[in-house]
Amino acid sequence: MRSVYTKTGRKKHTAAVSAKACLLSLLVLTACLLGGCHGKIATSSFAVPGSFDTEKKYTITFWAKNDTNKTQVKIYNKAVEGFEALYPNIDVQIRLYTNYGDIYNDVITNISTGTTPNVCITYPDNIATYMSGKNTVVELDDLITDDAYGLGGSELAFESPSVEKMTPKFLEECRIDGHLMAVPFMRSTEACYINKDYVEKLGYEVPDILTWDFVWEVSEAAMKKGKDDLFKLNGQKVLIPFIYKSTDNMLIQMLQQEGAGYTTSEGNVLLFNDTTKALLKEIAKHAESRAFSTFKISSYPANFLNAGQCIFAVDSTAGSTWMGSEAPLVDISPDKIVKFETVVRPVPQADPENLQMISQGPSVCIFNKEDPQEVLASWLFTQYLLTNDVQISYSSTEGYLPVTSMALESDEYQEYLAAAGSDKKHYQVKMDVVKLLQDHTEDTFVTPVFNGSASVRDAASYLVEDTCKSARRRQTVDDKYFDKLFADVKNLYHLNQIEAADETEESAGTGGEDAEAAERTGKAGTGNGKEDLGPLPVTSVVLLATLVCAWVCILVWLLVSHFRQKK
Amino acid sequence: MKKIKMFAAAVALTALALTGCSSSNKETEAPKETQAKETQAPETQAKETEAKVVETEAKVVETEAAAVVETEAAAVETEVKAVETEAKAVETEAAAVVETEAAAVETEAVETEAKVVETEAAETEAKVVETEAVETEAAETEAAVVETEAAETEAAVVETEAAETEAAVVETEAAETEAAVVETEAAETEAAETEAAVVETEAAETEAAVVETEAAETEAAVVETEAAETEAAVVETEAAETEAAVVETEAVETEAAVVETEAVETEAAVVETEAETEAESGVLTYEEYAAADTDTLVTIEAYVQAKQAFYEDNKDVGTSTVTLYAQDKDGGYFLYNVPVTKSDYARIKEGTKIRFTGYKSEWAGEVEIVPDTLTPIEVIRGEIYISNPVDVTSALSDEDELAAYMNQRVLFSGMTVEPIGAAEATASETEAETEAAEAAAFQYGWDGSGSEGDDLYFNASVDGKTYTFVVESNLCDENSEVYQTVKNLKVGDTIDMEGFLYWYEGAQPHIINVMLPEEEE
Repeated sequence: MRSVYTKTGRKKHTAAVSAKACLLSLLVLTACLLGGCHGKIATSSFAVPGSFDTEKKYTITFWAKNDTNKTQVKIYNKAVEGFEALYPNIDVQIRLYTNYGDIYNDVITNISTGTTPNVCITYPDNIATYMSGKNTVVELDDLITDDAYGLGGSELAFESPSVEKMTPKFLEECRIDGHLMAVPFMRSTEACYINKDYVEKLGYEVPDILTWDFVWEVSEAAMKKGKDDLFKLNGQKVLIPFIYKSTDNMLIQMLQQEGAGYTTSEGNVLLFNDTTKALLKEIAKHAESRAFSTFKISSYPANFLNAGQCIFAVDSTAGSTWMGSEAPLVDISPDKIVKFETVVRPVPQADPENLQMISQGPSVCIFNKEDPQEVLASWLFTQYLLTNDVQISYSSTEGYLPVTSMALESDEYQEYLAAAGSDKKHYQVKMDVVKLLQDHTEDTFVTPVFNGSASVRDAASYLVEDTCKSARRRQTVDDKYFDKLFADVKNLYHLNQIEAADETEESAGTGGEDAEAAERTGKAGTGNGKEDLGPLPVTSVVLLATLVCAWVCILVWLLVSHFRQKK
Repeated sequence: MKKIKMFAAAVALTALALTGCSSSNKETEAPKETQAKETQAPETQAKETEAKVVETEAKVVETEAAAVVETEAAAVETEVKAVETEAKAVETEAAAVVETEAAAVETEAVETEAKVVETEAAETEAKVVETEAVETEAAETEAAVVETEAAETEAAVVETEAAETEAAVVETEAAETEAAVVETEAAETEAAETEAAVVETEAAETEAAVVETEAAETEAAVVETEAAETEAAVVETEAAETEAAVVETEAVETEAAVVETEAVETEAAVVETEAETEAESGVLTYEEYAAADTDTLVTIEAYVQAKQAFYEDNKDVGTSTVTLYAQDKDGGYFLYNVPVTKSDYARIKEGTKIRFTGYKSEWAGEVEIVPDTLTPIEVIRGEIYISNPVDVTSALSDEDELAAYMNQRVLFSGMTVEPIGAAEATASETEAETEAAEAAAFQYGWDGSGSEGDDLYFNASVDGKTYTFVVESNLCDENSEVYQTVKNLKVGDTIDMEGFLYWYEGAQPHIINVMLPEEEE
């Protein structure tokens, strides 16, 4: 009989041990679940090492973007070779992209797996999204001012520009939430490439500063057809007087020129306003008449311009080598190219006395790694991209402007500018747009950067494109149409939550004054683009309450069992 | 066991709270309960018969136990130890046998029969155990009774080794299948309860085996009978079907002539009807589609010839989209980024018929259909059409003539591969680079700035004129045969090519197949 007791007792003991093990496991599991283990790879913040280890081998990856341009690829490769010669212990692996979107998508994918590149060409808008992971992107404030390895540092193996020799406006564009999260690599803007012959043929003179009214008027004037159903202006079946490449930039610049809202640095979305509606109505009129079109609807502005089928083509200065009948790069057969004089102007303006033009172009960010020495190696390579050799050679491939005064003021660059128009390498139109940007650097602006700002940019483009399509399809474009369009676009790009936060903040803090004024008083927005998600849903509360009750019952049961066993 | 169950319940509750999947669990549990209730009903009759057997056996056990108690009471404790040792060995063997032979049936039978046997056996056991505690489950009363009769019961167990062995088995089984009852009792008076359980479950085990055997025999008889009946029915059915088939065959043969003679008339009527139906449903013929202005709404029905790019959750459209080459017998269509459900995307194959409504559009000369709404492309089951390539080599030099074949599957024959790196050669800084560029038969990207996996561009000439062709990476990626074939081309090779006549500021055929002369042979 004793053995039976013993046997039973051992079973119970085993069960008790098992229960305790399960309890412990469950506690750990619950802690993990409630602790919000979302699988993000967290990296500790970066601190600048005292010195760089030149003995240890480092391999860093560089994701680079080129404009589908073989020469740019060669310059990247040459830069890597030059850098590796100076730092033999650093191996730079380059991966080439031809658009920012692909880089963005790949980076987002690799953040979740902790396999981001070391150095990456990017837009500041995208960096804001990368920063949603803790310490994902390295803050460069300490690095650029480090005496040994900062800009112009004493321990560098090459001549780097000092902080003072970086173009201040361009450097500031890389500041997010007060911290320097990237350095500019190249800068460009948009320009209007004009068939001067056609403008004059229509009886107009090209002004120094284009206005929207002028462009619309000339464009409509060009739409007259002859009895042969061909356009009188060019004698062809096809004519699109005004074509815009990047319609997000188009609307953003129009709003900026009108002093209307777009977004705020706090992440508030002001895009869906009455000024936007009025601007879109104007665009719709000219889309309906076919005097205006876009890249997404028709094709590259350069192709129409060079074929004598366009008067005003707005595109990036970084696309200048494609523009004009003498352009070094062409995408249409030579027999379709029409000879004409190409002139360049800033994008159309609302107020010719107060120019507003977008600043754009690639920047470089560094991703954080566990080994500070690896991050330092990445920073050294990033700085190398700011040296005169890289800056001047890369900028000369297109209508880019170097971002350092060290390069801009160098003899080499001055000689390059002086040779304007002498050959294809110094293609006149390209040199003109570079000068345009240089002359108007202080007239450029950038849009606020926050997590979600890239989506607002997409939304701006969608508004213009959809309005144009609807107008071309003879659909009614009125207030009702825009109300629906705004609602649809907000949903498509998930802008409702940000806007909901705006409304809450405005009613609480500013009493309905416009958000731009609120921004000045520092009351608007939720800060850093972070969204207030509000109270927990009822279902969540019930589930959590059930969980708590279950654990209370378990503990009570364990206590009761314990006391009963003692008895 | 009770504690474990309570703990398990708590864990389950926690899991449910965290996952919120309680509703689905409830749905799956309900049918099991119903099934259990249904299995109890047909066994009721058998239980009465089985109870009688149990009663008889119990009397025998009682008699034997009484005799043993009188003669061997002193040796009980010693024997208990010996039996327990043996029981462990037998328990293992018996468990294996019981688990493999009667696991499924036993579990249900024990649960069901135990209640019946418990009630009936309790009366018999009352004479031995002298207690009604088992029936009423009054633990205190039962404990007292069991304690006074424990020695007698143990003696009975010892004397019948087989019963003791089974008791050990049942002890294990009882812990799992009858946990609630046995464990409740064990928690209060473990020794008494254990012995009581041994007796109860012993009887149940015996009854289960009997019931199992009887049921199996009965079932076998039923199955045999049913099988015989079924076979007969099948034979009858087959015979009937055979006769019907013969009749049908004869009918088909006799009707065939009629059908054939009527076919031409019927076909003509169908064509007319289809045309009328298409007109009524707004579906355009190719001729009507070709004549429509751009930016007008069109509905077409055509057969997919190739799938190009697929974007899951295309953020600019708000749903998944696909780009397709489609064709009917009159012409080709290019559907650009049109909405598609993921299931339909998987269903769409070469030749699949689809219907789509969108706006006719033109981008860089390419005539295409773009979406108007998020309404996805519609897959029409049944009909399949795969186009044959049209040789348009002679039309290459005349863009207007060639444009008539836009988006169709076309063939270029007798073309000669030409160098494509002329621009690259001019820009080269060394002789080696120049030579390599001049000899290149293909390049990644339009200017060679791409890399493996990007679009492949190559040149080929006929009648002294050179044209550019593309292996579009979204249509044929780097793992495709055509991609690899083009990478192996050499300047001067003569090739035939099959592809789709895409347009970008002029013809830019998207090649899907390159045939070298030796391959053709």
